[in-house]
Amino acid sequence: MSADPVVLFDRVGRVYEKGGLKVTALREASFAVHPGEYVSIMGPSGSGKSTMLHLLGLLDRPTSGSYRLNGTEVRELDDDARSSLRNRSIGFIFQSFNLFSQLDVVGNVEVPMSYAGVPRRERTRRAEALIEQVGLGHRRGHRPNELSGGEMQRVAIARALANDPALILADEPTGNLDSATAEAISAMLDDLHAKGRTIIMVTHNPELGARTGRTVRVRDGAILDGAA
Amino acid sequence: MGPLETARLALRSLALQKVRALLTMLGVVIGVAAVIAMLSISEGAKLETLEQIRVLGVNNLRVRSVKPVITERKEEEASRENWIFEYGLRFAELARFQTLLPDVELVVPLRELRKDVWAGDRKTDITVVGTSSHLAEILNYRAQAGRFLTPSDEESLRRVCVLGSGARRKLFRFQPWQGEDVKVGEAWFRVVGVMEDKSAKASGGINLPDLNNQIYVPYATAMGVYGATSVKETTGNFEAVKVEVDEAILRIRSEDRIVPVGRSLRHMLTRAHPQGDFEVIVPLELLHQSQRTQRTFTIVMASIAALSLLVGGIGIMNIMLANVAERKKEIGTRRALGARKRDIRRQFLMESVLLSLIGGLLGIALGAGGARLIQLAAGWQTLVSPFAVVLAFAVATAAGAVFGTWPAIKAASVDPIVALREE
Ligand SMILES: Nc1ncnc2c1ncn2[C@@H]1O[C@H](COP(=O)(O)OP(=O)(O)OP(=O)(O)O)[C@@H](O)[C@H]1O
Ligand SMILES: [Mg+2]
Repeated sequence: MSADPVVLFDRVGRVYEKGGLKVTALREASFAVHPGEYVSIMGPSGSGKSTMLHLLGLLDRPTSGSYRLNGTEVRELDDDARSSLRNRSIGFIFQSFNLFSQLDVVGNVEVPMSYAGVPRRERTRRAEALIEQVGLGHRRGHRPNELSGGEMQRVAIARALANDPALILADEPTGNLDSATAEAISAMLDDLHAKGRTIIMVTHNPELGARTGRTVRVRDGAILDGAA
Repeated sequence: MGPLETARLALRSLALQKVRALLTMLGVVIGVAAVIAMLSISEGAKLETLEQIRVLGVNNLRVRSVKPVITERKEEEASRENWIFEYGLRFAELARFQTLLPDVELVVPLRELRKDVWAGDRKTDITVVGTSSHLAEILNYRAQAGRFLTPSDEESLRRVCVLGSGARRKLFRFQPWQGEDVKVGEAWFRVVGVMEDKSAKASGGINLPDLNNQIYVPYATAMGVYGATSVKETTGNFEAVKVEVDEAILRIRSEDRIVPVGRSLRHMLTRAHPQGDFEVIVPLELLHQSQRTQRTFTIVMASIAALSLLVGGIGIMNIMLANVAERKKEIGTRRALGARKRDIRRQFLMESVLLSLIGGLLGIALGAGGARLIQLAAGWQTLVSPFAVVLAFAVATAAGAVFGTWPAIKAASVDPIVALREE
């Protein structure tokens, strides 16, 4: 592959210390994700999937190794710099949607843009376009508690796309949905992939894993296969 | 995010739990309301004192006859028949004030005649005052129709009277008064004028009588007709009291001489009246005295304000800490979407400040309403000063900022990975 990888993990390790006890959640993990790839991370409980997701999402720091996001080494970045990088380069999709109940649909989609300092008018314009794109134009003024689970996840997808990120991280995105709705959301992710988005998804669901281009298998904090 | 946008978001977040928000600001509301109400009462009292001083004349002093405490020996004398209790200022003394104290420009005697004023065959509560022609001048009190008393009224011992505006209404309603007579005790007086309306409330330290409810007769005429002795019946005993002058109003040439003249006057009178049957009232001193009480009052109020805002602030801090704990997921999600620590800190600090700011506004409204109610119910004058409003507002907001800081710091330190945690 010719293009620079979006994600480049080089022997990344994460060791938790708890009362003198060291737990290695991730050891010497090396893998790369290239632009336009749709990758799933799978593995049994406690294998280190969430740990990887935290590190990928810049919510946590590796204790060893190197992580390059879009060519930027992030290990030494301070909190503000990581926040800003996260804001511009990563779009999150959560298992339980994580919408803000005090804001309506448009307001929710605007949040990443407001932290990026996008002017109000531009923000609203883009938010409305994204909402249209996920098929929720008729719901733009609604609050999250007036939406179904599938609708909420579609709002969350629109929000993840708000700053046109290089990487989309999805954590069990269909885990809280019934099978029909889950299928619709999966199709939407397929569609994003088809449009050239780079997506990494953590899931327990083998069917969902099978839809992705590649699966990275983790066990006991180590990558078994699918690293490249 | 700009401050306005942060405020909008904070308002939306607070609006999610309106009852909680209201309860949280209750401490601040009550504290601010108490301060505003108290400050308006004390401002009103100050205004009233000033008003009375204005009515009395800034350049005037008053000397009043005071009934001395009856000693045992006098008690014996009093039990004898025909004994007359004599005290107070003498008319002859008044002239001496002017000769001995060159700063005294004018002296006006006042003699309150304890006589009934009749409207037809009905008694009224109008009071009668024997005084000189200078009263109008010294109180800046003008006749609205006809004329006030003149020096020639006194010289000729004319039986004339001038009516206060209220007395005129009570005696004649809307009938003309020209050429009419008024019966005072057993004597008749011809009405020669009606005074303008002079509003001054009879309360506060100065104890001004209601000028409108009086009628004025020449001092000399009054003394000629009724004499200085009056008889009062108290529980079956008749008490005869002889007072020549109940009160004298002195006009001082310049304002800065009022306090020294008052002091000299006290000296002079103490020598002439060792029994202490007089009182010198310096309006300016009353003002100073009221300012002193004001200061004490202000300190007490400030303490109450500080205490209630402390309690209110702690209430806000308490609820905001609970808020932060409940909203960890929101905070984590915001962090995941790119909020910096300071964005989170500002958001939560803004909520605390808005709580106390809105609490402050509600408190100001409640306090102003309370002051208004007190004015209506108790008849006290009140004044909500802009200074009090600004102060209350500023202090309440500052309390929100101070007590919101810790919860805001806690919010900013929430670990962003909680965004991905499933409960
Ligand atoms: N904060 C922490 N402190 C100590 N140990 C931790 C912490 N977080 C995770 N671990 C440990 O690291 C290992 C990997 O955990 P992780 O949460 O990444 O697993 P997972 O693959 O996401 O599991 P699951 O499928 O159950 O969510 C586990 O042994 C876990 O106990
Ligand atoms: Mg996990």
